[in-house]
Amino acid sequence: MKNYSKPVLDGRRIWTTPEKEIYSSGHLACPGCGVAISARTALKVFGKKTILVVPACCFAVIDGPFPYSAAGVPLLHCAFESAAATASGVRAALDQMKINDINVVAWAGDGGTYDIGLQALSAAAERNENMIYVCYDNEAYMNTGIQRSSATPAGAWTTTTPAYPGKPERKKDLASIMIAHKIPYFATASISYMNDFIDKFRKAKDIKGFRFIHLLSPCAPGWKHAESDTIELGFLAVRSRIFPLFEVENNKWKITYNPHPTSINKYLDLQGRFKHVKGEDIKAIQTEVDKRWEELCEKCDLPSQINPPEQPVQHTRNQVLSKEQFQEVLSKHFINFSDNENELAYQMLKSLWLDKSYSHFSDEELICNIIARVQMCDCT
Amino acid sequence: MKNLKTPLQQSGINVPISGQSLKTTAENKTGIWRNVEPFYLDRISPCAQVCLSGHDIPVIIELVYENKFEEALKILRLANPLPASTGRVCPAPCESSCLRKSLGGSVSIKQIERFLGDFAIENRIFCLSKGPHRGRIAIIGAGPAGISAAYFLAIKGYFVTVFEEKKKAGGLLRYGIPSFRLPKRILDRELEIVFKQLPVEFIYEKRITKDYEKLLRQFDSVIITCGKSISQIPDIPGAGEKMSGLTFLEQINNGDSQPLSGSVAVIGGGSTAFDCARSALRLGCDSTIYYRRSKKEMPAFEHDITEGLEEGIQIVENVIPIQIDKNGDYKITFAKTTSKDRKSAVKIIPNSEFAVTTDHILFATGEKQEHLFNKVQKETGGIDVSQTYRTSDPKLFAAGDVTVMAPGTVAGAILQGRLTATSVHNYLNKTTEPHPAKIPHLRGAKDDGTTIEKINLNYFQELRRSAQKATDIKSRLKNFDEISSTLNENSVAWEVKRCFSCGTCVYCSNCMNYCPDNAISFDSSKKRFSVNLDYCKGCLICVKECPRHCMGSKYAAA
Amino acid sequence: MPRHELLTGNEAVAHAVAMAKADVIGIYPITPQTTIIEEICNLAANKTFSPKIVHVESEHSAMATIIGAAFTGVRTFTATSSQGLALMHELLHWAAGGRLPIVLANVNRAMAPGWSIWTDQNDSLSQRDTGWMQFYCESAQEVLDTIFLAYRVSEQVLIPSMVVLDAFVLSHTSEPVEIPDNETINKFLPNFTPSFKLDIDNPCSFGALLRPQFYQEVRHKLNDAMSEALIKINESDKLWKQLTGREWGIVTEYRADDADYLFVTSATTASTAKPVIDKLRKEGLKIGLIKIRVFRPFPFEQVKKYLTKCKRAIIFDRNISYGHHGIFAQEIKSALYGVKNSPEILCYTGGLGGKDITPQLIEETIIKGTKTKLNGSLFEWI
Ligand SMILES: Cc1cc2nc3c(=O)[nH]c(=O)nc-3n(C[C@H](O)[C@H](O)[C@H](O)COP(=O)(O)OP(=O)(O)OC[C@H]3O[C@@H](n4cnc5c(N)ncnc54)[C@H](O)[C@@H]3O)c2cc1C
Ligand SMILES: Cc1ncc(C[n+]2csc(CCOP(=O)(O)OP(=O)(O)O)c2C)c(N)n1
Ligand code: SF4
Ligand code: SF4
Ligand code: SF4
Ligand SMILES: [Mg+2]
Repeated sequence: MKNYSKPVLDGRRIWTTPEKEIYSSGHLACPGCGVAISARTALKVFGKKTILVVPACCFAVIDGPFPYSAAGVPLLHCAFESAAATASGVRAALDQMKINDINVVAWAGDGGTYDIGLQALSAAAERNENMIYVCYDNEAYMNTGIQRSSATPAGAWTTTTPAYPGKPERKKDLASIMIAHKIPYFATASISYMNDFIDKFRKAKDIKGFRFIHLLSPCAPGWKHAESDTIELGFLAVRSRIFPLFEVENNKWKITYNPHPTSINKYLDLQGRFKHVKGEDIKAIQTEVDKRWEELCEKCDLPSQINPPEQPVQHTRNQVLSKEQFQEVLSKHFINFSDNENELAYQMLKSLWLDKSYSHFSDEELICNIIARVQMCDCT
Repeated sequence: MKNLKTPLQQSGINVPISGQSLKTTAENKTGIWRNVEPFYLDRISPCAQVCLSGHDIPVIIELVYENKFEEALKILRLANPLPASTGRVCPAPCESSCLRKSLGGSVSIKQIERFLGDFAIENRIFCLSKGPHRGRIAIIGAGPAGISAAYFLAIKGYFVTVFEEKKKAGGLLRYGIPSFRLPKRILDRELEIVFKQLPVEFIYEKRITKDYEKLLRQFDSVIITCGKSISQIPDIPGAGEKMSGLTFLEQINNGDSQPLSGSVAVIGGGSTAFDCARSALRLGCDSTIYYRRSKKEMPAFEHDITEGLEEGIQIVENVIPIQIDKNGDYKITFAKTTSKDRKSAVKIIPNSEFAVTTDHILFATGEKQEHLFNKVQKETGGIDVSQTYRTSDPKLFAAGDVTVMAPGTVAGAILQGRLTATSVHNYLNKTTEPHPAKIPHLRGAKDDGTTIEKINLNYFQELRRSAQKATDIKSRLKNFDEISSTLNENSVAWEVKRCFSCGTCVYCSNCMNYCPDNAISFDSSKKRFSVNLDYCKGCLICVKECPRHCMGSKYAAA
Repeated sequence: MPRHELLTGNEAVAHAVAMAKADVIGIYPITPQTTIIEEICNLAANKTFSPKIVHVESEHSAMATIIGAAFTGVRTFTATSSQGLALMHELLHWAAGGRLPIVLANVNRAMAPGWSIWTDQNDSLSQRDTGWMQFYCESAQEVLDTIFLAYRVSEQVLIPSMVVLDAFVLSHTSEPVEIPDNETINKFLPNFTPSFKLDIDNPCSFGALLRPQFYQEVRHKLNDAMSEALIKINESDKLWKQLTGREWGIVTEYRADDADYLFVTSATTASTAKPVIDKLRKEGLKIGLIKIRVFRPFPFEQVKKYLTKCKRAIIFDRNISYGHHGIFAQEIKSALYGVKNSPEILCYTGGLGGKDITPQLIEETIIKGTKTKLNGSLFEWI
């Protein structure tokens, strides 16, 4: 499988979706809605041969009232608690009709996933139903007007946790629940990290069996943030490690983006729902975030580095990496080059590794540099 | 069956029994929700804003990014015919204001320019005239300003005759700046590819003085670009014309230099001083620069000072020569001074005199314009010109260091040459075009600049600036060979990758792809994005997520 | 050629579903329904038919699953009882509102608390207003035949069907059953071709928000389709008679022609009542029996036709609407409102939670019903 991640963020070729637009304008999402962007992008990846199953949630409204539908693919509205079961039925019927080139996608909110739909979800996961279940997590019941769900994070204001200090309980760890089902694929994703997002959807599309994608989905009216901050919040959530990007494939855990951590303050500051959260409360949230990150790192076999040094440590290079070692480094960068590209990259490495004018580059940077160059060449 | 029609059915509306939706939401014009509205607007990048010859830097860089070197060169040549030269000698204020500075160091803009210049030379990409041929223009002085004016007029189709008192063209590029900074070979080849196919005639060893008025009659228009050719030697006992630094440099550049030995005292603090001192080092001397103000007040370019110090030049600050005695070697008497800034006069500290003996003295205390063109030139100082580089005589124009607007840099002279060419063109065609644009670009209007706060750093990671390869110090001093080499293609690729393209849309499509309402589309024939106001809800995600500040927003009642 | 087998009511359901070649079946156990899904699994295991059986985690999901499948355009089935049916409640609306021709077998079982696994009709009658057709069966043969009829009519009018059978007395009691051959079934029940479905070539959404100007419209159509269903049931019954010699009617009568008194009931109680009617006839009482087989759509005309001929109707309900009385009785009364020659009506409820309904009990009820002096309406527990 071709891997599409770009290791060097140069702000130009940020996106790699050649697929056709499917989702239609004129839908009913609030201005700046994160779900609308996710759905639009996911549909591009899934393509026309997709059936969406949508329980009660904002997205059910967004798609449009009779006689409209924005989705551009068949979409079945189902009962709030029944997305996974209904989607199972769709798949069963397709199987009976011997149709196997259609993606069956359940697209549900956090309420429909963490709470009321968890039972059906667990069952479908246990049966390893051949579907992709996407939970767009806006951390509350938004459709009904911002009520607490088990996905609401501690401290958040909602209409049903109106008093200080907001919701007292911590957010349910749904990832662990889902992964415990030993499903073939689990991933978290954020539209802010779009290439990672697209990679994961592509990967999910290609896998058979039960696939679960957890999206953090900023909601301007619900989180009380500026409509234009939707993407920024995704960046901050990932970077502050409140919402780590990782995936679990065949029981192998992998952090797909290991950010240099920033404090959670800016993330909280941008959101009115955390307005009252100050001092000790922030510390408590940070402690929880750090703890979860450490747990995650342990599962991914990574040193956790709660506070890694600001700059990558520099060292003098002496011996050129062997081809195998280089391959290993490349795979750490999620790079999957063709043979030609590999060869070219290694030649470049050999010529640049001991070159003095690159001695101020860290190993990491030099390798990124090489990857960037190879990506610019036409090696076919 | 009995009539089972429902009321809606009877009125012709058929709602499917299962209530299925059959249409897309496209009918639903969500634009009416909006109270703010995004729009596209490229901005002048901070680098381009300060670029001395007005390059549209991010556009050039973008083309290099796409490996379209020839196209990049084309854009570059819209502003500058001599990138191989400026790419070597320009003080590059663009790099100082480059927004990438804080994220791995500024982009090597100058090196990219140099790379493109060398690319043109190596691939012999000639400049061509667009015609139709008309009008004859005379240019006096083949320095950067004259060359630039000649080039821009010639490509527009004018026949240009350039009168130059020296044996070759280039002005201070050739006779001032030493070869270790700008090899003559590069200059020669660059001039060749620029002029070989253009209707420009160079008449060398022809010094124009009073006869410029004759030219005014023979030609449709005349441009004076004589630069500043006279060394200003301070009026102190013992100082004389033969101690001119400029003359010394000219000799070296002509290849007439003899090996020197002993010590050289260079008086001054500008480029000339450093070039003299560094040349003297190469001829085998110890060089010391004596400057009347402090080091940080030196008018020399930063690269002069850093490279000079690297090579072993001594600098003595805050001293002023008051007397020179020759007795075999020289004895210079200095007084110590205090200085505040570059503008106010220095104060001599009473009774602070001291003497220095040295084998050679070079004065690099500034140059001034020759008084040749009495009608348009005051007794002292440069030629008075308007904003459009016109003198009081409507047929006569002037640009470069010879004018009161003396740019003092090669790139600045090139800009003036270009703007003058446009003015001449306007004059001859009786057009009243406004003052010609500083930055020629192809993409419509641009707004004011942008700042680092407006760059969305989420899309850029820290990438360090590539180091330029330079000859080690010891071998440098053995000859006048160029000390630095042009970045190779790989490093240039890396450098262009580092550019934010501040304010210039590079079609990353982020705005389009992040629009929740799918309200942005790209017209590939026009190479333009546009917002579909039928659907835009005004969330302004597009504006915020443009990595490089190419969008803006305004209040808009729907 | 038809064959004969000894089948319980539940086995009859399973065999019929297999012969109807249901494609997707959601299964979840509950006594006394469980043997239906077990038998279905057996039939699938020995390749009698090859459905996709989805082993869901609840009746709720069983219904959700087959809703998904039905929307995708295939024939579906599930079976349940009491608590399971109640759990499905929201989705029963979803199935009917979505106009899906789903067939469900409900084995009547009393609702908890006070756990009971024995029969009464409160579970299915609680779902009266969900928009499903309901067929109450009396014998294993009727169950088998009704499953075919349910599919046929459901697919014609696009309304889901609930085939109801009593716990144990029918569900677990073996009777000889004539099983028609496949050719007959094919004639009666053509392959399902949905008139709408989730189709990637014609993408539309199903179940989107219906604003007030549209909602009632859609419900109006559902109700119209219910009326049409009665006609289709009748037609299908006639066709079935042609093919197999059997017909089950909508409302059936036994010795009701010249009866002064009519004993009105449903499901297996009717079987128990027949010998009692015979006995009382012999003793000189002009009594007859009316069995209501199709409860939804409610057969107003048939009920009127039979009941206006008698003086007094004795209605026996194995169900209760608390605060009112038996549900069949309510419905019959409402059907006769303002009708000329309406009989006197006596309402009895008995046999809840599997309480035995013996011939003696029925006889006592009838005697009581003929003797009671009526003063307004009468409701009594038996
Ligand atoms: C030593 C030195 C180092 C410098 N280093 C740099 C540097 O690194 N970077 C930078 O940007 N700038 C540098 N400068 C400044 C820069 O060279 C000048 O500002 C620039 O060359 C001015 O260009 P110009 O065309 O106006 O004049 P000039 O370059 O002086 O050209 C004038 C031309 O006119 C000719 N001429 C003069 N009088 C007559 C006449 N009567 N008839 C015919 N021809 C005549 C001259 O021979 C000469 O060729 C340096 C200057 C000096 C002196
Ligand atoms: C059984 C049931 N209970 C409650 C509701 C009301 N309801 C509709 S959407 C919703 C909240 C949905 O929350 P979530 O799943 O987080 O999606 P969001 O609206 O936040 O996108 C609720 C409570 C319902 N439709 N069905
Ligand atoms: S990042 Fe690029 S566009 Fe921006 S100032 Fe630097 S060179 Fe210019
Ligand atoms: S992102 Fe789309 S909807 Fe939002 S302001 Fe831009 S064009 Fe309008
Ligand atoms: S986001 Fe990209 S495509 Fe859009 S205006 Fe900015 S640079 Fe251009
Ligand atoms: Mg939610």
